[in-house]
Amino acid sequence: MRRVISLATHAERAFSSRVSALQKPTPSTSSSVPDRATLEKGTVQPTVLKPFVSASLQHEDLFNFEKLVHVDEMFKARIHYGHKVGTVNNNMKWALYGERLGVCLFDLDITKQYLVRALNFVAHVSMRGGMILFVTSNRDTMFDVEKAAEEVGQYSHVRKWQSGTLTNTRQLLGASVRLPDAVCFLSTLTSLGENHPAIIEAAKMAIPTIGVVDSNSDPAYLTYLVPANDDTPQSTEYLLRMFKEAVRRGQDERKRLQQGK
Amino acid sequence: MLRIAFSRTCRSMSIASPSSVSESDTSVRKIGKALETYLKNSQQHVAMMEKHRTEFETGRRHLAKMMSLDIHELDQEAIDRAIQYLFPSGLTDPNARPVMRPPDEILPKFQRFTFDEEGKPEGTRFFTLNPKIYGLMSEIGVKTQSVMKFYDEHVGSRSVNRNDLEPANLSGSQWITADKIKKKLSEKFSNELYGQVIIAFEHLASLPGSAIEQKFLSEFREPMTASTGSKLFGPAIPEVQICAESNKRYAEVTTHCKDTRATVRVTDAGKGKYNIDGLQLHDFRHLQAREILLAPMIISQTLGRFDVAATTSCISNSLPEAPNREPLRRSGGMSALPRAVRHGAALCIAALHPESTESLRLSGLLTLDPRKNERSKVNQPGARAKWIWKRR
Amino acid sequence: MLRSLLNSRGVALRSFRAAFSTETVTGAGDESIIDFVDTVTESSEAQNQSFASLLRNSKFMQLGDFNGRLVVGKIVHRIQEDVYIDFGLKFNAVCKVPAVNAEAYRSGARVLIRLLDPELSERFLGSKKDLTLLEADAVLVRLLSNVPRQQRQNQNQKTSEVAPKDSEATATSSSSSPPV
Repeated sequence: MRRVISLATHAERAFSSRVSALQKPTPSTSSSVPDRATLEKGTVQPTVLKPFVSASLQHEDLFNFEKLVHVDEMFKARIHYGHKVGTVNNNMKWALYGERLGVCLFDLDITKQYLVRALNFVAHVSMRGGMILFVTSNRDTMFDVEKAAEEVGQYSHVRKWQSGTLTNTRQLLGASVRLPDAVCFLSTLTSLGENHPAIIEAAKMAIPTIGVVDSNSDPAYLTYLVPANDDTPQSTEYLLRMFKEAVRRGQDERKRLQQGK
Repeated sequence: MLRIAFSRTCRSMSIASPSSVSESDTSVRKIGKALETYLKNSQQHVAMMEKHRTEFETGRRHLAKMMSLDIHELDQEAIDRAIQYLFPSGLTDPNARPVMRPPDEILPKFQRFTFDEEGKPEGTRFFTLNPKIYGLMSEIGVKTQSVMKFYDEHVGSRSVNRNDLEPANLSGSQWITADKIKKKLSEKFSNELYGQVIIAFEHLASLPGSAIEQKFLSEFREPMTASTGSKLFGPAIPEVQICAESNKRYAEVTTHCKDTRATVRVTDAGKGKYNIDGLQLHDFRHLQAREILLAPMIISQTLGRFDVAATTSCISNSLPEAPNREPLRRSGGMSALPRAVRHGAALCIAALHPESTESLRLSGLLTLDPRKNERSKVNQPGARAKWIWKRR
Repeated sequence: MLRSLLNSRGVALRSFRAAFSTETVTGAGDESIIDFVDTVTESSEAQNQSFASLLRNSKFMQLGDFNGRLVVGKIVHRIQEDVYIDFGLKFNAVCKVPAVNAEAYRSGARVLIRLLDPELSERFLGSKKDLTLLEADAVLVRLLSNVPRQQRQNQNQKTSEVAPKDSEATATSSSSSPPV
């Protein structure tokens, strides 16, 4: 759990440094640049670098998703249903409310907290003009995912993952291309119950990931977790709607900043 | 704000250059590393192609001089002939023989991507590596869903046309080949993906109610007749044409047997006349030759219905020779001539009289006879024969 | 037996029954039918209920033991003789269409099913975790209602017009798995 959070902050910082050229210089941060000693210390204890992170990134809920995400809506979208208790992954037990007659149930209060964080991250990436790749291996929802990604002008990959798509673009495409700035998994397990190969590839390329993890999924290597039901179409539809809204809010903010400049 | 300032040299790139190049001195000169490498590679490729093009042009001039031709006369056909003469090659695979072609045709193409001003690749399925074919598959999938929904909503109701609830009518046609889809989408993909696309198409076409997607499906179908040609060995069955003067149907095909090339034209509604280089059937004294010439009509039971006109030539005479040497005047063999005409006539009859195609094919008349005179070997009197060995 | 089970739960349960309209009671002896599909999508009065209370009052908890329960489901998909029935839980139930009146089992039709297992999963020898089939186990009992013509037209209008928030309420997103 702690590792996940530290990973998250780490990735966020990596991203922020990557897109720092895009950002408007804010008066509070432009004055201070961490010296070498602080940076070295930061490799062990990332929190010491927090004062150097820009103000917009320090805000917990900059885009105000707390108001958008409702527990009862999630409940209606069947987000809380997990798998049978026999399939549960040990690393997912923290997100569970409990089990009812052998069926795992997610605690939607925890889910909400994590969903809001993930949505904020998506909106931040979108605000900085980042590319988000939506990935799923669920055949029931693949067309919805593709449609949603197309609507907000982002990228989708719902087909067979060719190994090396992120790590070996030069060979596969004949030229290096800009990689996505975030990868969002709407389901992290393939139909065989194995982890999606893109998770490892994204981790290798230091691309932060958002993963909708069910009770039988493995949360390892994912940066932002959303514990939720990933099998029911209604649930995926709800999550997609949220992610789309997050991307839109980021894009609107970006437009506003560009016009204001 | 990201501003990208491109150097002048890359103006040929397909990237939309931002309007704010004039502000480049004030704004950040920043560009993604990936985009930078791409631009560098692209420039290198352009430079390389330029070099090869000039080399080709110089080579062409030298070749024209060697063959004592004017540079303007030396088109691609003349170049091919010259190369065949200068570098004679017995290699079986035509791809392995020496060629001289413009570099744009033979060198590997540089894959160009379309980026926007921030270096984002175009297309929502870019990272699937096969965006077009996967886009097609998604389109099929969405249409499959809508067809199922349409059928479920309208089955049993009278508000729609009954024909709309049937599977699409695709008789007499087949799915287009992988090469044609590749050309249509201008994208390369593996055979495995082609198989998946065809399975998806088959599934969609088999659904009741897919008739509403008939138009979409027929875009990816082609007439079945084109396929029989590929099944035959040798030239395909020609298309039936209509003579403008006599208003009769006719078919024309060129084929060969041994060293004889024959262009045969069979006209429908005739009297069973033969005109082979001005000779008629009774001019062939050998009974075997007459039987051979009549064979296609006997098998298709159309004696006296078609007129056959053929012109023949010797293949060896058309092969390139040294420009300073008098070409050999050979003539094709007398037994091969009727066989070449027979093959051509059978193909034309198969086109004009499709009912007999199968019987003609089964009797082997639609198959080309590929046998050729074997070349004689050095130090041997013939192709296989040896000089008599004698102890001194 | 079911009836006696329900009766034994007493007053508390009955008050729930009153709160959540179970207009699907279609005939005598069907009181124990639980209809998820409508109640799951109906708008709740309390916006800021906590998850615990939502769960406590949900049909899912009322259902009790799954085995042998009669529940109302909606056909969302049909592939030849298999129908996929959404009954409000995580997975769809896959049932064979009965021989009688097979044409009526079309998507959109409401059916009564006897639920056996909300998720088919089994632990095989040597594995540490269950292997799940990602579908529910149920037996098709009978058809409740066809898709009436008016509803069809309404559905058509809805799917074309409504905003995304409402489209979720129709809860008929087709979950097909074409072979692509």
